Amino acid sequence: MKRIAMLFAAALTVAPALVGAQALTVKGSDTMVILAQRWAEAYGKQGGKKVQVTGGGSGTGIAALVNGTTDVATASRSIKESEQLKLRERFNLLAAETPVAKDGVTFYVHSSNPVAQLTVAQLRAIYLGDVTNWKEVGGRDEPIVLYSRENSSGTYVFVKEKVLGNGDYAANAQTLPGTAAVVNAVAREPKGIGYGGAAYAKGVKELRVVGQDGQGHLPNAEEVRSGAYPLSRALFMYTRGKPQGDAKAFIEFCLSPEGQAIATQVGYFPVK
Amino acid sequence: MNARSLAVLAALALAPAAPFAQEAAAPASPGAEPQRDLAGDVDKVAGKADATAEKLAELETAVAALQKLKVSGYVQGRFTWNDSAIYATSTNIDREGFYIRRGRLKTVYDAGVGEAAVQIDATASGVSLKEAYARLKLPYGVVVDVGQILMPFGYEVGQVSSANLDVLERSAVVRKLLAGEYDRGAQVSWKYGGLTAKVGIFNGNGVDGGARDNDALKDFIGRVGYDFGFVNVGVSGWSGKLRVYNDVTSGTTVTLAKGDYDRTRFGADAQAYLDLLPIGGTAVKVEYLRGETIIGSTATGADLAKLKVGIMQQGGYATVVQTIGRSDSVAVRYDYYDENVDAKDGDAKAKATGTLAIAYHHYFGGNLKASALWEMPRQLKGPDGFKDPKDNALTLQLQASF
Repeated sequence: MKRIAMLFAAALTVAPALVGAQALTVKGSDTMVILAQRWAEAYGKQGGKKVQVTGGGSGTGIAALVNGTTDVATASRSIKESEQLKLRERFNLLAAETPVAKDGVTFYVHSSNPVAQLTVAQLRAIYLGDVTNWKEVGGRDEPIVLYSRENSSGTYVFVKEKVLGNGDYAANAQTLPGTAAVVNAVAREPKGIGYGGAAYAKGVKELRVVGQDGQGHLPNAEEVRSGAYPLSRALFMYTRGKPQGDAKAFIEFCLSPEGQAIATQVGYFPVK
Repeated sequence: MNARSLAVLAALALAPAAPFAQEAAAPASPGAEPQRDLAGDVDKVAGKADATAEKLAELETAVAALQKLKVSGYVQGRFTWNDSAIYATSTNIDREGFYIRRGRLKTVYDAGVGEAAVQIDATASGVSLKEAYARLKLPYGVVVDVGQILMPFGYEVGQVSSANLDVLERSAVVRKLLAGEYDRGAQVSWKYGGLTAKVGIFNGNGVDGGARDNDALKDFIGRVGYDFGFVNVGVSGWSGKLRVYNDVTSGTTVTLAKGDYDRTRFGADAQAYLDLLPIGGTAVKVEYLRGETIIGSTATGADLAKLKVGIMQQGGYATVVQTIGRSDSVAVRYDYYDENVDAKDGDAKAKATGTLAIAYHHYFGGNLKASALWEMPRQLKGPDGFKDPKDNALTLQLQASF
């Protein structure tokens, strides 16, 4: 019986060595999935290890980091304390956070919508369901059609915290999987409003958001870098403990001048 | 996508395509097919869409309510081999065998300001209630729990689930002084940043002491701790009494006089999480407990005599856990328990044990874990001429959680 147990333990010791041969897995933010895929392609072309990128939302990525089913989690929000505690309990260390790009959460409307600028308070009222007609914010006399993201999305969490003040989204907000789906819906619905990363704003109109200076600001490079755009955020990569080995090399590539240039090409902004 | 949009798509998929087909209006002529009533067909589709939208709205309401209910649990299937001293042919205990150590099922309903939870433990011995509470969540991080809840003491009981124990079982001193892990009472907890404080009033004899409170006295139990992230520390206290209502006698000799006896504990715990090695995180965990009067049944005089009433005990452990890659970890714990601090080695009532435990865990994803544990207890203090019994044990476990 003792020999069987010792053989069992020895076999399990060998298993980790086999894991090192597999691709580096990167999972999480749908906001970052295209960016991460571009990074992975460029990294592979310069001889780096194969990187497998999947989406599912920031919450899904962090959960995979906690479960041990991904090497790197991408997230468009900060890791929660409860997630850190679960990771610590399972792996005996904390998640290390590395900002890899900047983004401006953008609110989109149909290109025919006459509304061009809203304050954060107006956006809050719209998404809480207190304002239900475009005429209440200077638009046409039409009901507002709300588009939102699933609650596993970091963008969903960011808007809930920064715009809604942790209030609940209106019950009639339609939940869509991914920013591309939100943009597609808004592009087809003249009464619609949605939100997502700045890189996805094609075929729709970006709203100016009024900042602390009382002026409306667009989510472009200058406004996001200066902090004038009020809904700027960092995009993160998380690892179990400080980045090491293949994960470290990939993250360093993402932060390199070449990697940051890719972020700009995709529509995000360099982290510095 | 809202209910109405889904309903329209569903209805269109089911409805004949003809209403939306571009058909040239045929001139009326003898023998020709009658023209379709397009307006009527559209009304029918709209009616179906509205009906489907209504059903979907009902489903969404039901799903929203169900999302507040969370069900979780785990099963620990084990095989244990015991060295000769642990089993005895006279009591028919098997030397080795399979058993279910824990079969937990917990449901939590979180309704925002209120929460309810029930947890049962199902094993071959039967089904017992482990946890059941009603919770009130107040502003500023204050939470009030009433029911059968975890004793707010220390680390191994107050903060770690039985599914995540480093060496599968709690340390000896915790198993005695905090036996059962749960008690009935009311507790207030408060969290502010890394600072957490919990204090409660409890029956004091734990769930292992029986279904009802054994006396009219209540115990106060609490812990204050601070979590720095890479280090978590806390101190715990327990102040209470056990009332013996009648003298416990052996023949004509009173072995335990009626009266009130102190049931107290003091504890301190600390855990450090270090990112030192490239293979994974390293945790070092220590805990110390000192107290008198252990927890157990008070139904009979014989039961009371087992509770070491008024006898000071102490113990603690030091554990090192090393994560290896994504899927494996090793834990080594040294655990010391002195059942009678005031008894010197050689005294009839002296007994102290040190146990070295080594465990290996392999994780299959997030829900399945296989473990192997080797325990080597060694008696360090005992009556004159005592011998260390052969009581090593090997345990193999497969745990599935959901």
